[in-house]
Amino acid sequence: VPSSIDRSEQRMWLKAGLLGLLGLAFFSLLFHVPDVLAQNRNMRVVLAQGGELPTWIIASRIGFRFMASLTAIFAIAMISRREVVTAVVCLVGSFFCLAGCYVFLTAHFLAALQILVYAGAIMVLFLFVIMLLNRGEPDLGLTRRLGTRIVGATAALVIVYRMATLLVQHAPTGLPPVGRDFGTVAAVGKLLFDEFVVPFEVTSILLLVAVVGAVVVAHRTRRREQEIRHQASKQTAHAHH
Amino acid sequence: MPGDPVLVRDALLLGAVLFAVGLFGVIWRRNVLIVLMSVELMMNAANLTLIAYSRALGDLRGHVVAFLSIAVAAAEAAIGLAIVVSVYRNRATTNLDEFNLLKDTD
Repeated sequence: VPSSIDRSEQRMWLKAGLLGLLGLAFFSLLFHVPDVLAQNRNMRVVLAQGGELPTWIIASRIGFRFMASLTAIFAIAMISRREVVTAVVCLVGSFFCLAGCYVFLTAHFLAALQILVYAGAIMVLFLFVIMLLNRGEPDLGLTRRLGTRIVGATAALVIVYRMATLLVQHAPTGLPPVGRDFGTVAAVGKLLFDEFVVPFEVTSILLLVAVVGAVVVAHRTRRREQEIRHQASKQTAHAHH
Repeated sequence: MPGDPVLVRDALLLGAVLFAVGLFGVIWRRNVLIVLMSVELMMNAANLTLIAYSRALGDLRGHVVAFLSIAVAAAEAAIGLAIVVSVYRNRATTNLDEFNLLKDTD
């Protein structure tokens, strides 16, 4: 029996690996299409300035595209899983890889926050609710009606197409140089407690209201059940008298 | 520190792809938990776009707005899941098509 389990597990990993490689190839192609369409305009700018592309640019492009492909693959895996817990795990993987993308964009503080808040707190909340519901209902079926699905697919394709064409037309050709502390906790924190101190404090009120609201919404039915039980016990007491 | 403009362009494209995948999930799927997760994915796409433009303009304010957006996403997840739990207690389902308590069913 253990050997058959091993074999099915091996087959699963093989399938997952093949799917990952296929997705990686697809998305590196997707990221290269605007490059080809723009005739490598940005690369030519760099080449005109200094001859050869520096190694750090090539390395960061490969690293970023790797992370970006994994993010997109995990996101697509998330919306296509039948089992909700698997979808949660896929989304956690997507958030981790997105944090990697943030690091390549020199957003170190937000990368840490992404892992702490999204991959940590929010997804654990989702897992708790899934295990709390413990649904014994029959399988829902994966998708909704055909008309709705057509609308969704069209909207998604239009967004990607419009964004890709806009990016090809208006992509930034050069970046301003930034200090070494760009995106660190110190720099973002200074701005947060100086210029954005009012929105920051309002955020704390928002979180408080959200927590109180969540408790009220989730507990209401239990209180009503207790009231009903209380009234029922009163009625039985009357009946005994 | 110098930067690579191609990286920003790729990040914006990834933001578009993630937003489209999230929208696809919201419209396509029937399970309310997956729909909520797709909404989280769309908020992440917005954050990524903010961070990419923050780098493109060399302005840290985009990072601050992304930070506030993460706080809003946490609040939204807490409230959304509380509503899911509440509806599940009344209806015993996570099927979005049966969330029609406010609908006139004559």
